[in-house]
Amino acid sequence: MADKLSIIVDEIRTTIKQTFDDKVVSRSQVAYWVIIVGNQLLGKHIAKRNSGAFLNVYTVPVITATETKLPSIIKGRKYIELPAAIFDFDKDGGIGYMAYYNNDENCKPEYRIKKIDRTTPSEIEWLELNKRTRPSPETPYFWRAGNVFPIVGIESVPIKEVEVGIYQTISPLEKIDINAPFPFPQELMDTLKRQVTDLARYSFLFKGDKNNDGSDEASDPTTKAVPKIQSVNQQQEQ
Amino acid sequence: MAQTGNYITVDDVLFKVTGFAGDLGYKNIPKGFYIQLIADAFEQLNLDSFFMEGNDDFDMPSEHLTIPLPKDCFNLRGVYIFTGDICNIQVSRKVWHKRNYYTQGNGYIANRTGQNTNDPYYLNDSLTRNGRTKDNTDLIHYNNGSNVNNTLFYNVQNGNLMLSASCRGAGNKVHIHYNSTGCEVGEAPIIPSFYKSAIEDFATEAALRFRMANEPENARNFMAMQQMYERRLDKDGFNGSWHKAVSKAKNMSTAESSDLKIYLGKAAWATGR
Repeated sequence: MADKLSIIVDEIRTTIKQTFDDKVVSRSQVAYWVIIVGNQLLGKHIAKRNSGAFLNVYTVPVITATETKLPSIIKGRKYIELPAAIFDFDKDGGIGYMAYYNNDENCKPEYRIKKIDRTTPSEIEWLELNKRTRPSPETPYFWRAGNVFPIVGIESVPIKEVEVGIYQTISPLEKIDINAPFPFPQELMDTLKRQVTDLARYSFLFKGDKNNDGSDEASDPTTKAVPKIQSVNQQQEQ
Repeated sequence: MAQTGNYITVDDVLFKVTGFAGDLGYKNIPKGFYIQLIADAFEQLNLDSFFMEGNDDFDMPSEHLTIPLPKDCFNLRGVYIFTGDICNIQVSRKVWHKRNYYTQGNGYIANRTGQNTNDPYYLNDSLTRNGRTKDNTDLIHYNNGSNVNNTLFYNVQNGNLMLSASCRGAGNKVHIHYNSTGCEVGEAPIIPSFYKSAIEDFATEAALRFRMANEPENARNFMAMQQMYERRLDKDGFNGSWHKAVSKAKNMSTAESSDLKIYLGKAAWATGR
C-alpha cells in the first residue's frame, strides 16, 4: 500500500522545518512540488519498466461527433475522450492498449476483445493501400489529437464503448485527494523527497519581497541593486 | 509432387513471426502487414515449387469465346471441354494450345488459319494438306478430310483464355487445370507443413527490415537479426529453409514414383497399346 500524499507532504515539511505558524512554504506548495517531481519520476519509471503496476483500465463511451468543434472534433467522426491526463510517451505510449468487445463472438469468453492499434493520420493513408491493413471493424485504429482519440474502422458498426488501459499522470493539485494512496513507486520515494527538498532549499535562496517602508534607499548603500551584467573594465563602486 | 495432410494456419505462423520480430503486441507493425508477408511467402513458394494445383469450371462463353483466368492461376496445365455438369461429366475433350491465336468471338488471327492462300511458308491447311506424304501422316492423327478449324484449340493472352470457334459445339462447360499461387490466406489451414520454416524466416526477415526502416534508432540491432534470418532463409541459394521447402514440395511421392517405374518398365508404353 502506497503512502498517502498527506504523509509525504507533512514529512517533507518537517524535514525543511516549515511547520510553524509563520512558515514561508505552505502545505499546498509542498504538495504541488511533490506532484510535479512525482510526475517526472513516475514517467521515467513507467517508460523504463515493462510493468502493469501503474496501468489504469477504464471503459469509455464512443462518441459520434454531431457537429464540428475545433480543434480536434470533426463532425461524423467517432472518438473517445480519456477520463484522465496521460503521459506523453513516444508513439502515444501513454495508451497501454485500446480494445472493444466483439459482439459477433458472444460464444467466446468475455475477454475476447478486438484490439485497436495506434496509428497517425499520415499512416492511415499507407494502411489504406492493403486490404489486410485497411481500417475496418476487424482492424480498427486510433490516433491522438490532443485529448481526443478518433477511432477509424468502426464507422459502420454500433460500438458503444471501448476499454482502454492508460498510464495516467498524477492528478493536479486541485483534483487530487490528499488522503488517498499516492500512486508512486516506493523505491523512488527517497529520490522524490530529496528532489522536493532541493526545490525547497532553492526557494529559500531568494530574498523576500521588499516592503515599501518609506525609507530612502538611495541613502542606504546596502540596499542598492547591483546590475547583473557588468563590464570587466568598469570600476566597482565602493 | 509431394503430398501432405498436415496444413497449418496463418495464426500458427503469426505466433512465431511476431515473437521472432520482437513485436508481440503489434505495437510496431500492423497485424495485416504480417499477414501480407505470409501471403507473399506462400505465393512465392508456390511459384517456385508448382506445388499448389487448382481446377475450375466455366460455362462455355459462346459469344466472345473468352474466359478470364482465375486470379491465382499462373501456369495452365490443361484445358478441357465437356458436356453435362461437374457432378455428372458426360463427354470430355482435350483442347490444344495454338500459337498466335487471337479472337474476340468471331473469326481469329493466327499464323496458320487454314486459309493461307499463296503463302509460301504457311500452307493452306495445316492438317489435311500439309505437304507430307500419306506415309508419315501418323505423326499427326487426324480424320481424313478434317480441317484445322475443326480442332479444339485455345491460346492465352493478358490473362484471358481464348477458345476456338469449334469449341462452341464441343460441350457446354470448360474445365481448366492449372498451377495456383494458393488460395487466400485466412483462418483456414491451407499452408502445407513443409512450407512452415521458410514462411517464418521469410516473414521475420521482412518484418525486421520494416523495423530497421521505421525505427532507425535501433537499426543496428535489427540489422544483426535481419542478416541472421536472411542466412536462415537463403532465398536464392541452396542452404536455407526456402530451398528445403521447395525441394520437399517438388519431391515425388513414393507411390507416384514407384508406380511410374512400373509404367516405364512395360514395353507397351511406347506403342500406346
